[in-house]
Amino acid sequence: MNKNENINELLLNLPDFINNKIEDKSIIEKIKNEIASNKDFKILYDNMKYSLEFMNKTELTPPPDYYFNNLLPNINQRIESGKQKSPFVWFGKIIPYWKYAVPVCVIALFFLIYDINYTDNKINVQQSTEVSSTLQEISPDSKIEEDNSSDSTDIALSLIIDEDTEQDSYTQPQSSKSFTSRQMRDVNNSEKVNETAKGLPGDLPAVLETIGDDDFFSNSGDDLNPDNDLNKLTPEQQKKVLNKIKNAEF
Amino acid sequence: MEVNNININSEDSDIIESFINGNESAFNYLVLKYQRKIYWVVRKMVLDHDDSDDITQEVFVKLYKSLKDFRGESSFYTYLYKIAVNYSLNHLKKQKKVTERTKDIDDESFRLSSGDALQDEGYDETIMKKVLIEAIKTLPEQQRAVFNLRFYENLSYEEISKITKKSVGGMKANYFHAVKKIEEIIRQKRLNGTIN
Repeated sequence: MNKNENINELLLNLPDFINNKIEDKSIIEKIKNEIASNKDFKILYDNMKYSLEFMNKTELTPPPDYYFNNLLPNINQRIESGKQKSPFVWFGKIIPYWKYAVPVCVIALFFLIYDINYTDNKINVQQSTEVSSTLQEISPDSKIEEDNSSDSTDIALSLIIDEDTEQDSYTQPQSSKSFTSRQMRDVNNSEKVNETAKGLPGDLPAVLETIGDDDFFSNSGDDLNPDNDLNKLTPEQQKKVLNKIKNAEF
Repeated sequence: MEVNNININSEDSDIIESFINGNESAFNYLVLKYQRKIYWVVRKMVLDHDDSDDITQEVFVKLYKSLKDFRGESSFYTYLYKIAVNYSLNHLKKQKKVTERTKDIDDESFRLSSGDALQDEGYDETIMKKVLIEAIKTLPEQQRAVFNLRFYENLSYEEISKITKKSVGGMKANYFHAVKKIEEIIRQKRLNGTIN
């Protein structure tokens, strides 16, 4: 093992030994001994020596005599032409990176577009979820509350629809849009009021009509408080309504 | 005036300093001083004269652009050899790709350089050149560079290591394998009777 390592070391130094480029005398001595004692090593040494001598004495065909006289002017010409092209040098330098830059830009653009769409969808879904949760929180005991909650659902949904079509709506008059949604709500509410009023005795439906749909079913928070509506009536009307309610049989 | 004292025999450091101080013509002295060496370093690697001419010019253009950044951490000729070897290696890599595509094993260098040589020189000499080119062509790029720098330019392994940015031990092994491959080619040619 140790001998093999030594021979490998001597082999690596053999070309330099042939060209007299080894200064370490101990290595020179070892190589000489190996050549004398090892037949294979001697054959390799002879062949290498012949080959290197061959390489040394054989030369490539030299260029014409005038070549080196023209080389300096050619180099200077190339330097000058490089200076003239210098404003576009930066472009030449980035050309090799285009093959990486283009796919990266495409992927980045794709993710950007995807992210924008995903965010929009997420907002819509979130708004719908909030509306649903709001509806669940509202108590189903009161008919008016139900009506209002369905009304608020309409408002919430109309908000979502309005957001989606917001840009289109800029071209339309704002009043016509609000009239349409309000009109729809009023139609629904009127039907429900009429149904409820049918169950009431005497002149109550007529009294209710005198209050006016718009006031009674307005979207303010006061809608849920009947005292507020009662306060809006004249004292004479209030008495009339209270008496009717007292005498009414449910 | 120091600028006026510069000539082709001046020290490299003086010529470089003069160039950095604004004497553009000092660069010409560097070209005149090293053009033959660089041409032959390149030529023995790429073999073809036209390619060598082009690469040699590129090497000096590169030197012109980067000379102001030269800090003198290594000797100037090591720095210049490094540029030359890198440009030659790049050329060989490109050429290898082209050769692999076209499977063109035609010896361009031999055709160009020996077209007239067949008439002017002896037949044996032409055959020897052909064998020389064939032997060099069998070497991979790295081994070719190491062989040229060690065998023809007499650079130390430490200097070659700086040029190629590889270990000294690796350079020594590369040189041995290069010589071994050349020896095999030439032995075959002797056995064939191509050379004596």
